[in-house]
Formats: sequence, structure tokens, C-alpha cells
Amino acid sequence: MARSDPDDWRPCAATDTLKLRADLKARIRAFLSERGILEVDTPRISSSAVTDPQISCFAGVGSHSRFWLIPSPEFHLKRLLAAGVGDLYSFGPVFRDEEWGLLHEPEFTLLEYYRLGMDGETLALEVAGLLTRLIGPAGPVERISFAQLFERELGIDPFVAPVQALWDRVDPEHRSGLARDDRGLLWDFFLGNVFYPRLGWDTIAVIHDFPAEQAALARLRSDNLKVAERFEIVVRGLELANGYHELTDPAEQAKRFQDERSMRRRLGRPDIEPDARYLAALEAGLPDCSGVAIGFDRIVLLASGVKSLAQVVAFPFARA
Amino acid sequence: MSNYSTNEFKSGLKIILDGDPYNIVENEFVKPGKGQAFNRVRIRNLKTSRVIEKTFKSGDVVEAADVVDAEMQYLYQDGSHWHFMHPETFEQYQADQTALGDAASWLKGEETCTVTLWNGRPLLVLPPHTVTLRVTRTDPGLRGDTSSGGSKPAVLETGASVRVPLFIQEGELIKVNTRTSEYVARGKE
Repeated sequence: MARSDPDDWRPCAATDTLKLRADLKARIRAFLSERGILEVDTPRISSSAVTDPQISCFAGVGSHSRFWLIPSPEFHLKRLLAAGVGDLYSFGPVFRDEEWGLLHEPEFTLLEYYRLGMDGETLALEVAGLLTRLIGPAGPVERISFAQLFERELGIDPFVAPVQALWDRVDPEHRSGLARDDRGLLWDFFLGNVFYPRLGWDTIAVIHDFPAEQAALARLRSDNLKVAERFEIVVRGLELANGYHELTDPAEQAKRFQDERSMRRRLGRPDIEPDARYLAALEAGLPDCSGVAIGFDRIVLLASGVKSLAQVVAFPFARA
Repeated sequence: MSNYSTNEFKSGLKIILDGDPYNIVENEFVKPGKGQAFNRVRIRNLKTSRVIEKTFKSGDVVEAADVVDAEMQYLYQDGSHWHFMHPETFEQYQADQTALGDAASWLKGEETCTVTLWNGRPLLVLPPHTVTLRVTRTDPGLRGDTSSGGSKPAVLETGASVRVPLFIQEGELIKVNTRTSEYVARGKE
């Protein structure tokens, strides 16, 4: 391989950052262990990928098989929950193709944990407590719904306002590439590019009640089917966690998988077969539970004060 | 006509937007965990040098700008244009005042410059990193003072003004950094 940088054998993280990383890991394991949550090891290579149209998985080729690198341990963990293992977590690397930037690495470390019989709101508070333990006092928890966030920042209701009203609020310089009639795209634009960078500067911001269209694997609220019991946590402008009160209905899950496949077709992305073993686990019965996925590297970033994710791992993708 | 996908974006890439050529200064990938990915870029308009910010949906395609850098020799100025020659093809190019910008005040002839061509026309001219020019006007320095940090203004043969050490006299050659407009050393014939 041609090397243009003579120093490219060196790690990108400072030794102190690597020590901080190890220390934070130990504190996370202690926090979860105090609560009786079991650490489990789940596969990193799998015969199934995910249908989520916004996630693309790395495919691998062995001598006799094809496989995927997992983008999240979610399906394996929920299969263990359906098998009766109880509160559990996985703490290890996950892989996402086409995600690479200052705050994204194609390989990153994800902490994902599940709590039986807990709703999303309670879980979000528990995660806020964990974050405070890891990065120090970040301020009080600020709960704001997806709709309230749009009301507060733009003065419009994201669900009922005409799409044109959303479009009108986009800074003209940033309109190229956005579609003026795509409500979902404009939601994502405002959330990721405009709102999140402003959130969590003296609070731990918990955004909840995401639109049903973005429910992912969360159940819909029984009292308002337009929103899902999904939350995200933002600290100092960084999205750190995404959690659900988990969808347990196999029929609804099967339908969502098919909807995601249609969306993939529309977007011209490769078709992915839904994970049949996961659906079978739901058929067998997933207990009522909430789960959350937390980006560990971003926690290290906040705790160490560096600017990019590449500085908190020994060898980021560019040097792996 | 070729295109770039946002996946290929990186600083230094040249693209066309609204008919103008741009250089990508900074490319940042923005993606909510469960949502659509975006590329937020800072880009410099190569005609006006103005830097603006834009957001693209990841996966979007933009037109590539046919922009290339070539080393060329500066020949002469005819009043409105500066003429350059490619040392291998001997092809000649003329650049206007906008393309020259500050470069004009460092050139007297025969320097090798970096000329940025867009569709075969000079868009930008970058002078050599250092040039050697004669001092045409400066006050006499204080006798014997050769080491102090003191400096004085001087005008060079091309009309450029720089600060020089006190020991530099009119008629001497000096070496100047064109990026910072700073004196580097005494020049040689």
C-alpha cells in the first residue's frame, strides 16, 4: 500500500485519551452492574442486515459464505430478551458504511442496553444519570417533544403546517439538494443541521415523541398514533443516545420491514431481506421493555474535550 | 461532463454551482442516527473568492468543474492582460486583472506561476512563493545598525511595497515572500 504520510502508523488518540476511554468503560460497566444488568457478547458478523433505508451495512465475503458486519446489536439482544435472559447490555464495535466525518466513524463503539417493564421516559432519566456520572454535571434534564422543538425554534407545528411553511424557513443558501415537498427530509434537515447544534449546552436535552414515520423500532403511543415512544439525548449539540419503548407486535414489525423495503426501492438502495429470526423471536414474545443505544466514542469526545471522533480512538478508519 | 457524488466530497475538490466554479474548503458529514444524511460544505467561489456554506443531501450529485492547475511562465503585460506560456505545449494564455489579483504586484517577467485554468481559461494566478526584486526607493538606513529588529518601508521595481531591514539600500536585490509580503533575505544577481 502506498503511504503518503510517514507518521500514519501512529495512533490518533493521545495516551491520556486512551486511559480516559478505559476508565469511562469501567465506570459504565459498574453503573450497569449496580443495576443488575447483564453484559452479553453478541455476534459482530451476521447473516442478516437491516432494512432501515438510512443505514447501509458493510458486506463481507468469506471463502464459503457472505455476511454482514452488524450496524447495531439490537436484533441479537432482543432475541435474548425473548428467550428470557432479562435486563442486558452489549458494549462493543458496530459498523456503518458511508458514515464518515468529524463526528462519525464507520466503526464505532456502541453501548446498547435494555430494561424490562420500563417506559422510555424512565429510561431516558436513567441514561441522563449515567451521562452525568461520565462527563460531569451537564445541567438538568430538559424534556422537549419533537413537535415542541419545532414550535419553539420555528414557531410552526411540524405535523400540520404545510410543507411549504417548513421550506420557507430553510436558509436559502442551504436549499440546494433539499426537496421542497419532502416533509421527512425537511424534518431531518432542521433536526440535524439546525436544532441539535443548539441543544444541550446547559442541560441534558431529551427529545421525545418522534413522528410515527420515524418510529424505527419504537411502539406508537397508544393515546396518539401520530407519534412514537422514541427519544434521543443531546448534550452540547451532540446526539448521544437513541432509545425506544420497544415495539413487540410481530405483525406491525413485519409491516414496517416491508415499508422500509419499499422506501429502499424508491431511494434506489439495495434490497435487504428482513431478519426472519428476529421476527420469530417477536412471535415467541418480546417482553415489555425499553432499550437505548449510546455512542460511546462521543462520550469520550465530550469528556476529553477534543474536536473529532478520530481523536478518541487509537486507530480511526483512516489509519485502520 | 463529469459529476461528483457527495460521497466523493473532500477539501480541494472543484465543483460547479449555479454556473460558477467552486473549490470545496471544508466538508462535514451530518447525520441524525435514524435520519437522512447531509453534507454541509464551505465552498469558495473561484471567480470572486467569496466563501459560502451549502447543505447537500448525501448521495446528491453535482457537476465537476473542469479546473486544473498548471505551472506557466509569465511573459509580459500588454496594458489590459497578463500573458503566460505553458513550458511544454508553448501554448499562450492571457489572464485579466481579476485573475491576477495581488499576483500582479510581484511579477516582472519570466517567473513561473501557478495558473488555475477553468475550461481552458485562466481563473487565478498564484505567483512563485518567493520572488527576487530590486529596491527602487527607500530611505537610507542608520549606519552600523545591522542587527536590530528595526525596519523601514521600501518600494520595489514592480511597485510593491514591503518593509525591509534598515541596512537595505536603493538598488539592492531582495528576496520577498509573496504570501506574506515579507522580506526574506538579500537577493543575488
